[in-house]
Amino acid sequence: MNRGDKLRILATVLGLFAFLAWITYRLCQLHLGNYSGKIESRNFQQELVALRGTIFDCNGTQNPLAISLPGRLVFIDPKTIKPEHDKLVIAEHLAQALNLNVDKILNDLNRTDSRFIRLAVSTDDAVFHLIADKSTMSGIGAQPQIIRSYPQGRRMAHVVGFINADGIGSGGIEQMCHSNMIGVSGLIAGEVNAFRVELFGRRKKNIPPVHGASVYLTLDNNIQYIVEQELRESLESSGGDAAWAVVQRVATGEILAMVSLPDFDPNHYNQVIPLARRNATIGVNYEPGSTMKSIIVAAALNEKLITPATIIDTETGVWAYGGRLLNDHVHGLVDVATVIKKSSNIGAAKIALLLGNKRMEAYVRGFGFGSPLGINLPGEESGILAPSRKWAKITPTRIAIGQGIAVTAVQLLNAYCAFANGGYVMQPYVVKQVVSSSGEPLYEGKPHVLGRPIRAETAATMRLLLEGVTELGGTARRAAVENYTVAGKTGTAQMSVPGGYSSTDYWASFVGFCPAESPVFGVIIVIQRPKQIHTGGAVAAPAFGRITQQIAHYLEIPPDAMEEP
Amino acid sequence: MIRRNRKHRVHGRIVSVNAVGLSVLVVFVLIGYLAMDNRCNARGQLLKDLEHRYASLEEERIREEAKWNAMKTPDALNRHLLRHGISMGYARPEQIVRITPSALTLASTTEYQERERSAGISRRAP
Repeated sequence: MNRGDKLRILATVLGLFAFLAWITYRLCQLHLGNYSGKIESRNFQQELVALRGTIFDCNGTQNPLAISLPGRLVFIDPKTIKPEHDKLVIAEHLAQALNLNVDKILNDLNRTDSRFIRLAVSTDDAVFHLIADKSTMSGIGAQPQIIRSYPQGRRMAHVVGFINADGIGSGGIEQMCHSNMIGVSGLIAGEVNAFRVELFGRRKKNIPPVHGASVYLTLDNNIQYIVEQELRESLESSGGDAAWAVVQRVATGEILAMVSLPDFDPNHYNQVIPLARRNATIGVNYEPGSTMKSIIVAAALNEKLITPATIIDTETGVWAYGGRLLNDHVHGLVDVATVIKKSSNIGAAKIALLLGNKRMEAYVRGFGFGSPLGINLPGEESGILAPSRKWAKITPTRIAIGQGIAVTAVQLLNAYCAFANGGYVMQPYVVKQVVSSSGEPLYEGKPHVLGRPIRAETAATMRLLLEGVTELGGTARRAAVENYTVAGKTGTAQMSVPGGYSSTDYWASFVGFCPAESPVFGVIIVIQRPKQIHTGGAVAAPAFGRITQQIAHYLEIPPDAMEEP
Repeated sequence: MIRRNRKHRVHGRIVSVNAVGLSVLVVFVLIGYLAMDNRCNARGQLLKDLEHRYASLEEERIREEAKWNAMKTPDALNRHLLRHGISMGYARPEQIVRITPSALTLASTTEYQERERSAGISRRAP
């Protein structure tokens, strides 16, 4: 070999080495180099949506009332329909799966002006499988979408609330606990290859989403069902405009049921009138009528101004005071027990005058009237109670019979539960617990005493007096419950109109608790504008009786008034 | 006279053995690196697919749970009961047997045993 040969071989080898070195360098540069700042198209970010927290009733995870479901928004892209697929067949399949009109879908399939035509949102796995079947279906897509679902429909709609189109809680617990329930989205950040497939090894961030906290209510789904069924029946039979009812646990203030009719389905919140979305149990101020008499009598008993045997002169059924006449269906001399049992207007008015204005106002406010109770729901009204310095001469006589004062149903029930609870006024609440997605309790609802306007002895006396209302001769015989003692008071209040009171429109109500001796729960029923028969004893008391009977069974309360065989 | 070397043998080496050995080693390292890189990518893709599968199954579980819960609502249960002609109500109080702690205590006393004896009930000793 001559020198030239050696040089050629050497050059070839060196050339190969250089090529190899360059390949090595380039591979190292591409694999190990950081190009995220230079090649934007290779960067990849995906938000991981956090699910909104679930709302349960007091029975835990058995009864979800509001839940976020991962679903799909089904859409049509007419340009991607394969020629070999029949559009009519596609339309028929979709119409059946999504419960839509075939002709409309067929029209959408033939459209040329859009490549994204929304059809429907679905959570049905059968629909997803149908869309994924490429052998017969094309031109259809599905975009992931989180759907807020209310599986119980109208049940507890006013307590649960709903979320609007922007995902903001509107009304009820959805609004009150919105900040706890929304959760925090997660994030995946990394790089993709030329085929837009993520390079798992190049992932820079992997932050899992933090799902929203779940809310456990004090309300019981089964008790709510009982109350709703009976209230609907009462509303229909009475021909009333609206009705509402609340059930409360006496010892703690927990709300077990809260019904307001007319109601609405949160799944279609925008298809109802705003009136139906109103929670009347806390949002409507109404004149309580005769149910207020118990408060005044309790105050006078507590001040030892009267006893149950004290005789009150109810005149001849008409009493002139302060230049105005007060009518009554009770005549003559009656004791305080009879004033309550037969609901004497004049008797209650005279008892109120014994108290004096300031003391009377203090007791009325002490029972929780005239200010919000702080129940953790939006839209709570405070009721209407003017300060005593502004009262006219006849005002105390009118407040005693439930006129000139406005209350909410929850306020009135809460006050009556004080009779059942040794005189303690508890704060009503609907949230038992808020628990994070990791199981950490964020909030625990606990019983809270708002005040104690009357002594335990006075409360016990009131229980006895109110038990008489449901006995023979009382105004609420129809509130009696078989094998259980109950105590309560009827209310029949004329609705106020400009210049006075209506002679045709009434509020019919009944509020009470059961059992009378050792009360466990209280119930209030209010019916607005019942037609024809309008008294609380005829319209609201029977509903109270039926509801109380079923709840007592459900809560397994031992009967305390068994008839001897 | 000197004869020309007709066999044209090359005496000596153009490139050293070490250089060739190093080159071969580098080539093998590169091939090994590429192979592992491919394998990593394949694993990464598998992880991503499993991640996606897990998310899909989780979503399916949530939907199934929701369907099951919807079947257990009081309205749904009542509909099913009515459809099968079943009417249910609470037992009357006289049909309910309540066991109180005092009743349990009574069972262990001799008084209860006396009652049994007088009623003609005999029990074998365990």
